[in-house]
Amino acid sequence: MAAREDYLIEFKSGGRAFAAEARSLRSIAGAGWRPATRASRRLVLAELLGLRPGPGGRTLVVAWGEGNVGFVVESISKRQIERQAIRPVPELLRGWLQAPILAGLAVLDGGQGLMHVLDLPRLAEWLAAAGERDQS
Amino acid sequence: MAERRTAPTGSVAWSAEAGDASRELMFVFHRGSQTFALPPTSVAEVLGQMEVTPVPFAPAWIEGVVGVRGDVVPVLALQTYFGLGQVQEAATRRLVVIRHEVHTLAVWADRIVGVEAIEPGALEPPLGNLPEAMLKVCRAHFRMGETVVHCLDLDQLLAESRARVVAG
Amino acid sequence: MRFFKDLGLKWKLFGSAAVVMALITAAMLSYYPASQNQALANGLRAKVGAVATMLSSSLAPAVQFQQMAGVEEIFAGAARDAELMAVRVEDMEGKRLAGYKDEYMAQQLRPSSGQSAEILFEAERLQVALLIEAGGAPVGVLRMTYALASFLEQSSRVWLMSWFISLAIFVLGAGLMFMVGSRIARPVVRMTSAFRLMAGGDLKQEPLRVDASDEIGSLARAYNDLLHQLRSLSDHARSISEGDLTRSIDVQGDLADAFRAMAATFTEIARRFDELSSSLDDRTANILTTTKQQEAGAAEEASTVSEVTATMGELAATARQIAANAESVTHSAEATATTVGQGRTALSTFVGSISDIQQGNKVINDNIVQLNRHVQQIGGIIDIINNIADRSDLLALNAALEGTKAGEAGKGFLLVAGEMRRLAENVFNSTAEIKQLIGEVTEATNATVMATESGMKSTRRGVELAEETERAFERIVETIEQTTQASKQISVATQQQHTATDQIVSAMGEVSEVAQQSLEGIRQTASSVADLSNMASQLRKMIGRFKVRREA
Repeated sequence: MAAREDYLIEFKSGGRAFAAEARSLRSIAGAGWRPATRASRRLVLAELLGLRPGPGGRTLVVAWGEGNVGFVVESISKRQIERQAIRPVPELLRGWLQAPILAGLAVLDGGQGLMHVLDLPRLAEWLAAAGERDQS
Repeated sequence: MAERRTAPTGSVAWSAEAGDASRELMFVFHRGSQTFALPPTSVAEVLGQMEVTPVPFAPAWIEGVVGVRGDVVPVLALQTYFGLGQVQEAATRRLVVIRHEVHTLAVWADRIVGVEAIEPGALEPPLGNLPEAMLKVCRAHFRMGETVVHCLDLDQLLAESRARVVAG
Repeated sequence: MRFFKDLGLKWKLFGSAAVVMALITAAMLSYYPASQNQALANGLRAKVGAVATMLSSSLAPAVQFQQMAGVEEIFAGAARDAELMAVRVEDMEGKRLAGYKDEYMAQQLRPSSGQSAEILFEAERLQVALLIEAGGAPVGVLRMTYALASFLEQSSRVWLMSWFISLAIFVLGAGLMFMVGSRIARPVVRMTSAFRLMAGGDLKQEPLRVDASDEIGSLARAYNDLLHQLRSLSDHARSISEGDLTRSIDVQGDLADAFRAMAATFTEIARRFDELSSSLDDRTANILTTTKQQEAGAAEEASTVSEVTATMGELAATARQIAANAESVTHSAEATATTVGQGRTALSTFVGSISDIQQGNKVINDNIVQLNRHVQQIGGIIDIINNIADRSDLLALNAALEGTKAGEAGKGFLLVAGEMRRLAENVFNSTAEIKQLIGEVTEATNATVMATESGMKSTRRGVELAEETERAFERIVETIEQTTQASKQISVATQQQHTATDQIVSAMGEVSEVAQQSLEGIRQTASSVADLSNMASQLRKMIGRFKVRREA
């Protein structure tokens, strides 16, 4: 992606709709993306979130340390989600979450539906830290 | 949700019946096999059936979040939190939106009894046979006829829930 | 006497001296010439007496023996004295024995002794008479007449001299006194004019030259001291007027003490003003803060009022919604009743058609189908009612919650909410019943259809079923009537609540007005206080001119 525009990318993973900030991504690749260096990883997002993964169609690549992490998702729609529809995660909820991967929640459909806006870079960091904890 | 100030009166010690200024008010509802009570000033509103969006990496007793008038409200599953077992979900269940200080959360109620006035001396310490999770949060109880109504202490609930997450 | 008091010093001195001089002169004039004359007279008397005695003794033998022959010579010798005018000698009988120019001699004098002559002073003459004694026995009388011309001349010379001397003394004395008096008076006059100037307020004069150590000199020195004192105090007064209260007064005395006391009082006043104006500043600052707080409080109150009004508005809206819902329940119930009526009509048609069963199953079936449709419609409406009741229940719950937050005003809402929820429950129960009844009716109609489809054996069974259905419809109608009644009651209750809410809103409006007025009052107070503060700072500026000795 040449221009870093200030919008959100909506994608499907595990049959559910999510969103991510376009500028938090390094690139969007196809399903065939593979880690280029030893410092990079490829992960299926649905599995991480505890959902049933569907057939992977796209990879969202974010920077991570010296390399990258590619999150495999099912599909991507470039639907423009209104920035004012995004609500920050309430402090109460933030205190309850075990991982800081939510950047916010988008209110859709006249207030009934809620879509998670994921902070993919932070998710990558947290996974790395968790992985180190597991190894030690 | 629109911000509302609480009533300018100092104490909340008045009741629905005219001339009876000594009784305290409680918002009483059933959930599962238990009956709970909250101070009515903490109950922001009651909504009908809504779709709850689950949240990843949340503890089991967080059912998810709902959107109420454009705001995000986490839904806490009381029966899971207190370890009371599964509940048969009815279509007539209500969502009780609770506001405590700056925090907002919601719990499901199977049936709402309503705003009840209780006698001043009716509050008793919690029963001894409660599960530990309930003992920490339900600091008092009273009786409505045969039913035991557990008074939920919101300060304790919020503090205890955070402690639980930290403990892992 | 008054005149004398108002004379100048010079003239007083002169006058007093003149009076004294006059007295002296008068005394002298009354004594000196007289005594001189007396002396002259005594001298003359003595001389004349001596001459008489001498003559008498010279003439004694002649007289005794009446031998007057050489007497003229004696007389001539005696007459060498030019003043002797006449002499006579007489015997004891008064007969002239001898004489010298004695033609007009007086004879009145009678001498009594031969030792001392009888002397009589006349205007221009002196008469003398002496007993001539011989051997201790009087033998004759000697008479002499002296001219007093030179005596008188001398006498008058004496008078003249006296007068002249007296006058000279008087003039000299008075003139001297005048000069002395002038000299004494001059410094006094100078001092008088200096004092007058000083009394008039002019302190710019030079101090007096003091060249004497007498009382005048002390007076002049005293004047100089006074001038110095007054000048010093005047300087102090000027420096105080320019604001310097710190100079100390080095002059002594009651006036200086009074002045010092005044300066001290002034200092005190300046200090007090200082304190007062700074305390005034503090107080006005406090008042300003308090009024600002009051303002904030009043503004808060006003905003609370508007929030309560807003809440009231929302409560009123909720009440209206409940009323509307109650109305729609009523409408739906009425619609149901109409439908039921229609159903009943269909039923009676069906019963009618049962007796016309020979006309064929189609007619029966058609009616049954119509009946089913009606029943379904009822079911649909019942669902709507259920929905409405559900929403009303929710509304009632939320209204009750708002009621608890709105304080006193919300009490009514709790009641209404309770009623509403009871109604909703009734409706639920009723609709459940109705649904059950509908189920029964459907069962019954199905059974009827089955019976007719499988070739009904007897119409009586059909009529029985129809009658059962009819009863079910009746029960539905009853229930609907109850529901309608209840919802009408709700309407009334919410109307009443509406009125109460309106009253509260208007009361809130009044409270808001009062809050606005008090806000206005507070603002005016604040502006008055601001004025006060200005005055206080002006006062400070005024007082700030004065340098006051700060006590440690």
